[in-house]
Amino acid sequence: MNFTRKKKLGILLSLFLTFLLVLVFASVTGAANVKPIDSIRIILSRLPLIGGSIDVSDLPTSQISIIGNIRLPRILLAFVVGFGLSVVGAAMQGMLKNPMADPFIVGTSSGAAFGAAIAIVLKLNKAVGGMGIVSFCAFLGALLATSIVYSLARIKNKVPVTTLLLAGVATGQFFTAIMSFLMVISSKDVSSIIFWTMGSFSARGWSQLQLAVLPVFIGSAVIYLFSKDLNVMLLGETTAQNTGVPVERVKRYILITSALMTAVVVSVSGIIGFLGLIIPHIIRMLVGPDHKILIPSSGLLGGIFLILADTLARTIIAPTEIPVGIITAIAGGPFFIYLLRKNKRMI
Amino acid sequence: MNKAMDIKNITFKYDESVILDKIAFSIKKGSFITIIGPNGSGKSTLLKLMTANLMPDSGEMVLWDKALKAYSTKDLARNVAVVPQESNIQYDFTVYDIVLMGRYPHIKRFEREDPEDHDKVKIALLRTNTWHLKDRSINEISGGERQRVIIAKALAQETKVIILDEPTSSLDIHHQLEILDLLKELNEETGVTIIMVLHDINLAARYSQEVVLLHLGNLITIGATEEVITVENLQRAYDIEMIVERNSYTGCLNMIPLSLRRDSIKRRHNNEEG
Repeated sequence: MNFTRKKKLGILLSLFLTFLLVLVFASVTGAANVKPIDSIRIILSRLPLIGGSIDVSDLPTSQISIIGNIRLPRILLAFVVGFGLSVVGAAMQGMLKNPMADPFIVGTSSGAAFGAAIAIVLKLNKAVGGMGIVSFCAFLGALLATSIVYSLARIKNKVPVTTLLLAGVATGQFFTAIMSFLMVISSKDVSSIIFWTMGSFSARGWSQLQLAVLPVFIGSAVIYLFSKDLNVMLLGETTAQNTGVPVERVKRYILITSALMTAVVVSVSGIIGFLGLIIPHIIRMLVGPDHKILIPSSGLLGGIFLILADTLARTIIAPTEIPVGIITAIAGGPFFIYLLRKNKRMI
Repeated sequence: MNKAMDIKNITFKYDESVILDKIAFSIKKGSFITIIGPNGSGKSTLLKLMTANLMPDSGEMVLWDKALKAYSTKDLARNVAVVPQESNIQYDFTVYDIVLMGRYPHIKRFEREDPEDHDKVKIALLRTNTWHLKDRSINEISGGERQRVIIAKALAQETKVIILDEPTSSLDIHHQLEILDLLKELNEETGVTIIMVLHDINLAARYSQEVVLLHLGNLITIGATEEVITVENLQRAYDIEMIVERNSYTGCLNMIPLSLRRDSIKRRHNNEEG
């Protein structure tokens, strides 16, 4: 037992070190040339406690500004978003006992896209208090869709998994249809709506990071507290109940936490697909199904993966940026097919 | 507290069809009791009501001296452990992880397993002769081993009642005896109350102190095994010609099925023609 605990801590530690390496790598990748050591100094100078003791006055202000105000918040935001989506994906797959589940399975993405489309069509492209109205509408849309799915799926205080999945698909299709309708009647907004739905970190900064960071990490901590329950629930809901897990209550807490986390994340980044699906699968192959290690590792790997995907998205055909959702889908699509084929072999 | 469980006039309906009709009996503390009956007699439903996985339409279940529905999920799991018919676990947990999950109802949310929990898991694994499997994946061991592991999980749950739903139905005769011997030993040594559904009348006759015989949602009889396993009782439930005799090797009652009853064949013919 001790050995496996050490092994688990080792995995978390190496993932965290990888995150630091990727952070520095991503911060020096791009048009403006900054040396890694200078970038590390600028990043350290931004840290809350020791930041004051790091002197960066010898560096050109343009470098300090590019790293400190543009690249660093964007990289951290990608990390937070990737972390949140992967944690929610892991929780959903465990809770629903369904390997195809992801953060958007309960209609969150279509709801968010619908909200954003309304805001875009109504020309509400302003920012109020650090948050764009488009983002705010996306947040509301995501919550609206999820609560519709939840109330549709609920039968006598219970939320059966199959009903939840079906309600998610049906509601998702409905919101997508309305969004398509909006695109048809307001054809000049089509490209901005489509761009929004593909997800991007372009022009995101400290304010979006401030919005997302607390909900994501508090939500992840809440989900982590339920990891023992999620483990037992993998044996089936009846067995879990007979082992003492209040199954319906756990499902309710996790659904609500996941919906809030996903809605916040989507509102700052748009819809970034596949990440929340594939990352938990990769981690499960590496460390097994125990949620105590699965949830934090998924978060870390998801964050790392999204930083890399975003770095690719802003450099691959620079100076044009491509939506990061395209990168994650290109990487995720083939993996999804592989998963399908693997599952087919199991049957 | 001589009664482990009191079943008071339980009725259970599925939509409008009555699955169990005013069932009433009680189970003594420390007994080894088997529920038998043909398909559709409602024995699995009765078991699900006893484990609070289903709620009765009328009547009440009492565990110790408290209504079953007054227990919280966690509290109930400290009192009753359940072994399902078959455990199909698709995830790669080790045998040790699975048995450790049996400690769930004894651990508070913000606590982790302490050395005492690990001791109890070890005792349960040793008791069921599965200690050597502890690092294996639950998926790569045989059906008989897996069922012993699930029983170890129930032991780790430290309950005074263990409820089992046809725990031997997917096992060969060797492993059937192995599981039932283990349950018998546990019952005799620790005084744990064993409540079990079995399909096999002869195994039920051989291992149980008491037998509950159900037929179409009605209780035909309950009592000591010797009194329940009679041609008259069994014919009412199973509708076949049979002989019940004492086996000279085991000393237990043994039922030998002969044929379907004449009138039941005739009835079936009439149904097919009509």
